[in-house]
Amino acid sequence: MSIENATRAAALGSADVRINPYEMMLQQLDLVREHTEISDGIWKILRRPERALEVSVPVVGDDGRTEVFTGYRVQYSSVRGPCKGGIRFHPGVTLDEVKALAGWMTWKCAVVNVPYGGGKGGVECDPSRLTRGEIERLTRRYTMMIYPLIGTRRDIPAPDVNTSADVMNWIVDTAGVLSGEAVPGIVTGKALELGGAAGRREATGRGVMFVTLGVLERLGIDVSQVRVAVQGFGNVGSVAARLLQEAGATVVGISDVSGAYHCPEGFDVADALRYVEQSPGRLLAGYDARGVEEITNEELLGLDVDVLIPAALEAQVTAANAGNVRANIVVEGANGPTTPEADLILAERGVVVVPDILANAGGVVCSYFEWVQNIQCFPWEEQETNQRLGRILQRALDEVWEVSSARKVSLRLSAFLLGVERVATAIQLRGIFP
Amino acid sequence: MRETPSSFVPVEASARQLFDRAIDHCRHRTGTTREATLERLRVGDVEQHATLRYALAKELGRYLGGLGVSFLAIYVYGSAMTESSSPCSDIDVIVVVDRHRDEVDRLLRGLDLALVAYFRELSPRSSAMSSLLDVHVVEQDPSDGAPPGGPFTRPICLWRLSDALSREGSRPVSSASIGAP
Repeated sequence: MSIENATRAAALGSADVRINPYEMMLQQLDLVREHTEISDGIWKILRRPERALEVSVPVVGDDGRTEVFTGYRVQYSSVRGPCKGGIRFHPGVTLDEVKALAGWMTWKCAVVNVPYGGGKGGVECDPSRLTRGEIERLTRRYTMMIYPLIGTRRDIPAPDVNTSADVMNWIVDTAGVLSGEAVPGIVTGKALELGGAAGRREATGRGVMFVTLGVLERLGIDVSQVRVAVQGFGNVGSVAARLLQEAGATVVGISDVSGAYHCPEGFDVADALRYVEQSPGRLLAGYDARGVEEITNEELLGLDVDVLIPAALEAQVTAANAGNVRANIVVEGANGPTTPEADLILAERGVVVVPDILANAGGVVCSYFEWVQNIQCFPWEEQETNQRLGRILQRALDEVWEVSSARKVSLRLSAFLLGVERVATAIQLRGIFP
Repeated sequence: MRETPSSFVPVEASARQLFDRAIDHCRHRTGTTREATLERLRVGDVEQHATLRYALAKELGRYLGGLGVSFLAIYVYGSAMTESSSPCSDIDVIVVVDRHRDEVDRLLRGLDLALVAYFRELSPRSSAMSSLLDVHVVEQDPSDGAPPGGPFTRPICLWRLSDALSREGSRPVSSASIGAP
């Protein structure tokens, strides 16, 4: 019985002992505090979410039996605007994880200076064990349970782990039924036909390209002389590789879960993309072209390149291989590809690491554009989305770079400093009610 | 945890290795099985906790030294040094670096958080513990000149770069030494 198994798996997943992510987020904040002069009172506010809701979500399975799942929605901060953050369906979802991720969304939105606060939601379940119908009923009931919190001007969910445009479409429909009016702006990441933004699929990879070009410009490096390796050839890595090649860079290394490839003369990225689109599983496995040789993933990370873009999974650049990285610039397309030990080793070697909170922020910026278009009932051309995305990320990079130089801290700490201080300033300006 | 930002990437693997090696050290000291050692820790055996803390400090020194960057020396002091710590004690450590970097702070805090999580898993008595490592990152080696007062009195050196270099003939290479500190 699929729904019963999903519940059991969820229980097992939550039983795993692991580091409390909310405490990790607080420790991250403590690091930031040592470099700021935020008052104690505001600091107390920054360390706690504004609101956290736990809901029970009963769902009738396809076989008629009922299971009850636990869901959450956390609004960490709304001082800079409506809360913004995805909804994940995963067995390991806990309230503390959702609180931590909501906090992180708060700083991320502030770094790129879009008028959002931070939120996050999740349901403790294993969607791989649920049928499509069960997932739809789960989504609709969960939406109903968190409906008092969400809204176009209050809190805007988006896709996250195991939640797709389909899930967003169901949320829009459910909220529309409950409110009796069209509410396309209540979520982002919807289907294009329901008010989704043109260009969203490519937004994160495009953002990686903009940030990379911005860093090259700041370092005085001509993009036409730059060699790039990209780990991960999915939505982020493949788009970044294609756009960087179009900008003049030479992409000499690409990889995905099926293998890594090296082409010293430079890949025809469009050709590799065509291969992937036609291959079973949409993988690079078996890709062959003139000058292309298969290498290991470790060799890809150690290629003689100027820019390395880890755009696959967490913890790929580790203490064990950071010493082999030959790139002068690492742009974190994925979330958390560099471990703390590796971060230290790269810093020692003078490698510029552009942190994920900035490098892969293209997705949330495009979510903001989708929301703006929904509110205005005026869809933009894709070209306009792309141009505005570039301007916002370029500005964010400039600001992060300035803070890094002025306070002599890494780009990673600089980005968090900028985000946290913006939220603190907003709290100060608004004052504390009543 | 999937799709989380880098600041959330735990140093779990390294911390788990430190913890397991420290447990092994305790096991060898007492000549018991791993399970018996864990059980003594669970029930709050003071002597076992003191041994574990000193062993953890030693392993921390080896681990940081093995990273091959930034660190010049690692010292332990306080109750962990004298093996007089209790189940609620922290481990006082001095880390000497050539120059202060925020990456060092991030790494040490990540390790601390991971180790606290293991202690909480091990014993309900540790549930209120918020920090295990009390680390002072300094650029001045406490053994240089007159020993400073307070907690810096008579620390024990767990690892020193100059000693490592004289033993190995060269500066340790990070990629070769990680994983086997």
